[in-house]
Amino acid sequence: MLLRQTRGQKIFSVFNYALLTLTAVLCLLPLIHVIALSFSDNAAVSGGLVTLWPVRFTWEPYAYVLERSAFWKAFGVTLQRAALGTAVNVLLVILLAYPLSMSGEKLRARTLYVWIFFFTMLFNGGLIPTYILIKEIGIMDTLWALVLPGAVTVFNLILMLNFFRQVPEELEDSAMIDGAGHWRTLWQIYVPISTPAIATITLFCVVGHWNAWFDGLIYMRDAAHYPLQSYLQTIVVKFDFQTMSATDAQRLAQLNDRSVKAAQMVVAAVPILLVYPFLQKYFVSGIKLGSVKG
Amino acid sequence: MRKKWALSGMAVMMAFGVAACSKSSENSENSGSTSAASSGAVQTASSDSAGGTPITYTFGRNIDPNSDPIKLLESQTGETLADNRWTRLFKEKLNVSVDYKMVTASPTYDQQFKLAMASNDLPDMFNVTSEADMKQLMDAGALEDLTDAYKQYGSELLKSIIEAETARVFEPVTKDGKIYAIPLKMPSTNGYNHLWIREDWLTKLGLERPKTMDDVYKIAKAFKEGDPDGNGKPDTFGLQIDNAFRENMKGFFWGYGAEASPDMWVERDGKAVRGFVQPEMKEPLAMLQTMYKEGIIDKEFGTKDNAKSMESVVSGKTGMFYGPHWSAFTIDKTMQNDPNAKWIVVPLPSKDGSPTKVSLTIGKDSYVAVKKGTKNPENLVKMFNVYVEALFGKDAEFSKYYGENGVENIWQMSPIYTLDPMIDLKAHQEIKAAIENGTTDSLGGTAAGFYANIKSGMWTFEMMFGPKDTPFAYVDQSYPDQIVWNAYLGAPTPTQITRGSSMDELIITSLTAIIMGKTDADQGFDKMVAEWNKLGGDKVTQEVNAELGK
Repeated sequence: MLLRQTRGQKIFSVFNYALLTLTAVLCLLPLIHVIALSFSDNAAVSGGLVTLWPVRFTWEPYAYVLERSAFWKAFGVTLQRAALGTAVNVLLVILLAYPLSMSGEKLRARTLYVWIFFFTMLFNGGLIPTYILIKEIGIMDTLWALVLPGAVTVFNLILMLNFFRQVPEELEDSAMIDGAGHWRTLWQIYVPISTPAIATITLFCVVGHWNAWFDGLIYMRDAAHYPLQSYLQTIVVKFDFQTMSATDAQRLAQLNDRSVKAAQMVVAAVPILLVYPFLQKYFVSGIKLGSVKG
Repeated sequence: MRKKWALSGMAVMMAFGVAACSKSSENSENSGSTSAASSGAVQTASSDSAGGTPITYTFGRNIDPNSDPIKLLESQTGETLADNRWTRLFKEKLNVSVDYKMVTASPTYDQQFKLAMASNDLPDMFNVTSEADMKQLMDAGALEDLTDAYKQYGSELLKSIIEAETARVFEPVTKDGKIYAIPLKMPSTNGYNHLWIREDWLTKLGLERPKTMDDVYKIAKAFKEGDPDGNGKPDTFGLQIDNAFRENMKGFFWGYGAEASPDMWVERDGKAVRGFVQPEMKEPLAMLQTMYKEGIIDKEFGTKDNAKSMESVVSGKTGMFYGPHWSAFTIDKTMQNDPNAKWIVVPLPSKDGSPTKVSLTIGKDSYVAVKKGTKNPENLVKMFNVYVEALFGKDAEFSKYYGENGVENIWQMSPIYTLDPMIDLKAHQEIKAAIENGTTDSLGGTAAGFYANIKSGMWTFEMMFGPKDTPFAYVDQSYPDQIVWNAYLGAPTPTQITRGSSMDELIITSLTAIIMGKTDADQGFDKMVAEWNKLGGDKVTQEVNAELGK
């Protein structure tokens, strides 16, 4: 940074910043638009008059959302799912990453195991077999259907595994000499010094669970059990006017209520936005450290 | 990443739907153990013929249990979707209980339904939302034959409602002369496409209401050029159009003859033919092309869906559009953006001013079928009997079961439902007569409900069902004399399933290109028809006519 930049570098920097700013603006505009919609009068919204600033400012959509029991129920399901799901994810990742980070001498066929896990990242059984599996083990329409199928997140596992491999072998050896078993080594040596990585994968898991909607739609057969994003998907998704039942006038009137939808999206996004600042400081170092030995 | 996989998995699943389904139904007949385990527990309690013996059916129903009306009813009376006046009525009259196994609104329901079909996990009774699914289920022998049940147990009232318009309503659920599902009959008048006009703009520019398609053009041109919103800027459009113009402005095409029905099959020389490839389409397309050239219609229509394109109508920038009667809910907000706005619906203009033929498909929501092996399938028909009796019978308690205290659609909160196809039209006629005779206090049925809404200041209801210049005033004038029924109601044919999407792609892009003036409306259209036939159009037409026995 202290070196003088050449002309070419300066030009590059200008373009670089311009491009990055543009990208950032492109990412932000839809968010701002949704927020503007959520604070606007419904007539202005259906007239397409709202762009980036609320027209005829109102709190009404939020008042409506706060009164909506279905919304809060879905919110509750998502909270449970995120808590339980993340706990399961992180625990399993740590327990798996530890043995798999050992050298080939300590754990024979280690590469084979890693490949088996890696394989599931590329290929899976497909929707119907997975669905039948969920049905046959009897967790359909329960919280477990949202938690168990994705219990081991292989991407996070590889991240964690690489992080563990950076831990100096001497540390482990000295722990062993002091009489610690694998169990103790893992919890008292590896886990405490891996906080950045653990924070990172926790963030990944929480966000993943918070945003997942497809599994909710498929495995929850009663729409009253939907997690938040599945619930939002059903109200935001574009309806085909040709196939919908026309006498359903009430629902049509609601469909027009885009300001309410926008308010629900904002309310649903707030908690996860609040999590970010607390975990983000670990975020970059977590990913970077894990990838050095990739 | 995983989401993407899941989605592509979904697509693959759709493609394999046929194979998977036929396989699963074989399983159910051979082993039957898994399905029996899920539903059998309750059923074993009942003996063979359930006259008064209690029986529970698992149900698949495409309704959103979280929807506002259901929550509103719950807050008023504690009733829920699973336990309300309807389910209690079925219990009381038939000793039939309903256990919702799959309950969510379309289109999610349709996905879940396909999954349940593929994994042999269907409930005892369920909504079938598409003709294609219906055909798969019938071909796989996965459904109970309801022919005798309907003939033997169906009440006169039920039959009069379901077959009110035409018995062809059973066409999509019939195989080899047997019926496999009961259609949820709905008013076909929902298929109307009305012409909505800003009357205040007409008055301002000194224009008459349109009688012919040339009048429509003149008005649209004046709306574009005459600055009807009076802001001194040329920022208005004459006529609304969006990327699904084939469906959303079919009323425009109807003006040029019944054959120009862009979303239906029409009859020509005794054969069923596809409306959008008929030469009658050329003239309306040429007209739209002219409008496009002159900037009367939005030049960006190809990228705008109906909701987006209607924004300009609501904000008071477009003065004319084609749409169904419930468009009133969309344009309700126009008056908030422009207090002078006054909407009217006029009778559909035609090329020469003669009455326009209205092409309708038979109105129904979905079908209810019974899984093969379910005990006493006739109970479904009996439930329908009880249902129509409660709403339309001699001792009907109409408002209790139709809607009351601000909950408009209690009638939908039943596992099965159907409405008198004339229900909306009758309401309009009664309201009109009552206003003329000053007897609005003695209104009953739907009319009373609609009139109460009008009285309470709901513009939408007044606009839809009021006496003059409303959609139903036009329906009253034209139904059923000017109706032409869709010539084919069955499932997509094999060629349609394999080639349908690319054929449709060709039509929509070609039609859009014609309107945008990139292709000639005459030769360009002929070329499109030739290509469509080559892609499989000929074959589809043959298949459809074979299906119809023509």
